[in-house]
Amino acid sequence: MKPWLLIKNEIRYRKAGFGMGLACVAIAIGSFTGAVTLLRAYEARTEEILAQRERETREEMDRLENDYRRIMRDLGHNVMILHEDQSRAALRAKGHPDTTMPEAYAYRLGQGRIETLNHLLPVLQQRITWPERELDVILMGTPGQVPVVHLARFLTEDGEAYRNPLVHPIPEGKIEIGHAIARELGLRPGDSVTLMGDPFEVHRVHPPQGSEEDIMVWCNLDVAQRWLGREDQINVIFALECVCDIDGLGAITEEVSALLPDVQVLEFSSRVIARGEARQRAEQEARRAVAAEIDHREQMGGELRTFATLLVPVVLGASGLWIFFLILGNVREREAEIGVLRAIGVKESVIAGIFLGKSMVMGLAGAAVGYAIGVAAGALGGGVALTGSGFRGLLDPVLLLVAMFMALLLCAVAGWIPAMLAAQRDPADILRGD
Amino acid sequence: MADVLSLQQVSKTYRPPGRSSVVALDQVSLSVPAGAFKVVCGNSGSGKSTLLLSAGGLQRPDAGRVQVGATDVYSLSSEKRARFRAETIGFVFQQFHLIPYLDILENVMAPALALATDTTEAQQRAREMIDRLGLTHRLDHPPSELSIGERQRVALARALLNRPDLLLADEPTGNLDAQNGEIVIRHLRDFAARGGAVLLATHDTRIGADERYVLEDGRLRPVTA
Repeated sequence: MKPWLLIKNEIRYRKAGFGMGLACVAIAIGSFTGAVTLLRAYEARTEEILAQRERETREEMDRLENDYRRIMRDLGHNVMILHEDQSRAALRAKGHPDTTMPEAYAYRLGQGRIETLNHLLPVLQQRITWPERELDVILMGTPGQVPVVHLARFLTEDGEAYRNPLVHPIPEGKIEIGHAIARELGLRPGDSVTLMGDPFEVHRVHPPQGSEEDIMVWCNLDVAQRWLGREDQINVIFALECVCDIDGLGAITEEVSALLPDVQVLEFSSRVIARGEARQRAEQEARRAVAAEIDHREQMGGELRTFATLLVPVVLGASGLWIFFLILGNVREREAEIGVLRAIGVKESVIAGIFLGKSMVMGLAGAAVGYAIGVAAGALGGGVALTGSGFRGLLDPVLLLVAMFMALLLCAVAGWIPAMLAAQRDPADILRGD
Repeated sequence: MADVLSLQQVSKTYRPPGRSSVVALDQVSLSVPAGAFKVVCGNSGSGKSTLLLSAGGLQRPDAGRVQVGATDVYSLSSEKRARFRAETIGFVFQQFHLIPYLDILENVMAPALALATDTTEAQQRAREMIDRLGLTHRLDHPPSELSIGERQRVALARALLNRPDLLLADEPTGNLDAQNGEIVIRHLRDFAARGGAVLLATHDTRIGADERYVLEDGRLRPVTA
């Protein structure tokens, strides 16, 4: 006969007592695993929520950025790069710059790794009288946009041109004219004209802008340079300020000056800037909301941790006491059995082992039940559904092992004194009662 | 015949706190040789149980010597005495003290727990004992389903499992009717007849014995026929 038979049969015989002990261990272990799982579930849920918020914010920002990019593109260039000797007073008075700089500057900028500007447009611009029509116009000679080579996402696959340029190159033998000129001269796309002695076809009439654009004539840069005697020269590079940094005139100047030391940078079009600032404010607000959510959930998590830190030891202590009294009661209930076992020669250590063994079985069974209940309750408390992958992620074998160990330790500690009392019980005291 | 049990000048006094002392055994000397069936009579509280517990190595006397075979029982450590008891002495109690959650076969096998005997061998011996005591039909029943007489026979089978030299029976017929009492006494006599030594404590003066003693005020005196 083995002690295990006595343990097993006694458990079966006194189910209620064993059940109470098991429930007690289950409560203790359940509160521990529940607290741990609740915190883990809460953290997992927090990560999930924050990831979702981040995703929503990012999507919103992408949407805003696309809107902004479209608005920017629709509104046109908002930065001018001029030679440093260009007088601003003269610029204002004449309506166009009169100091030139090498055309190569635009290509140098395009090859450099600038982050703050895009859509570079080198222009040679000058107010002239259209001799054949005796009309004052602003001549705009441009080769079309110069690609900023490292902003590849905006470019065609070969990197030679923009996929969606703000300004297209003017085809050979063609010009584009502002709305006021077209109206004044009665011109439409396809009409043939002569300008500075050269024949051209009107390629496009620009829509009305209510600005000097309405009196502009766009032609190829080479042609303008020839007419104005400014070979390889331009007097302005228009650019679009990047959406990434709307405050950055200083940053733009710094970047541009590193590549072109003898230029100045001017910003114009306040509408674009205002829209950009609004976008930045929206982004900051969204990020602040996410940060506030993180703070709130961290605070809640901290309070949960504090609560668990206080609750678990109290429950463990109370359960330990309960188990102690249950086993003590069991010892008293089994005094006659202890007496007879001693009388027939069963050693004290075996008797202690029988009680401790039962306590251990109670611990293991209680740990299994407590773990299952604790994890389920913790997951539900933390907002994780029991059927999803999130719940499977909370099933931690290490936690189960820790729970088993804790339950065994709890039952060993709680059962030790009653088991020793049982082992050392004087059989004569029990049997003399006969 | 060599003495299986020998008590020499054994004394035991209980000193409950706050109450007057009670002398349970006063220089009691007794020997039970192999094959003997001896009876100690006495009223309740006369010290009969104390005498058996002391003889069985379960209660150390204040003075005197208890010898079972050649062994001074109380010279052994607690653990060794437990093993010695398991190998040498069988106990039968008035209240049977069967373990309620074990069936009859398991109850009879309980002493095997003390000696860590091979389970198959112990089971074989237990079945023989149960058969000899006429309880085979009750093998897998719990004690609660047995009659009082059957329970005492189970207790007797348990006491005999490890083939002891000495059987100590404390009021074994105290709860039994005359018929069942007779059966139990017959089995005790059989044990003695096969060379075992029996010391039986009872208040029933009708039980026949090889030698009869009366325990009164802690003192043991023989009863002459």
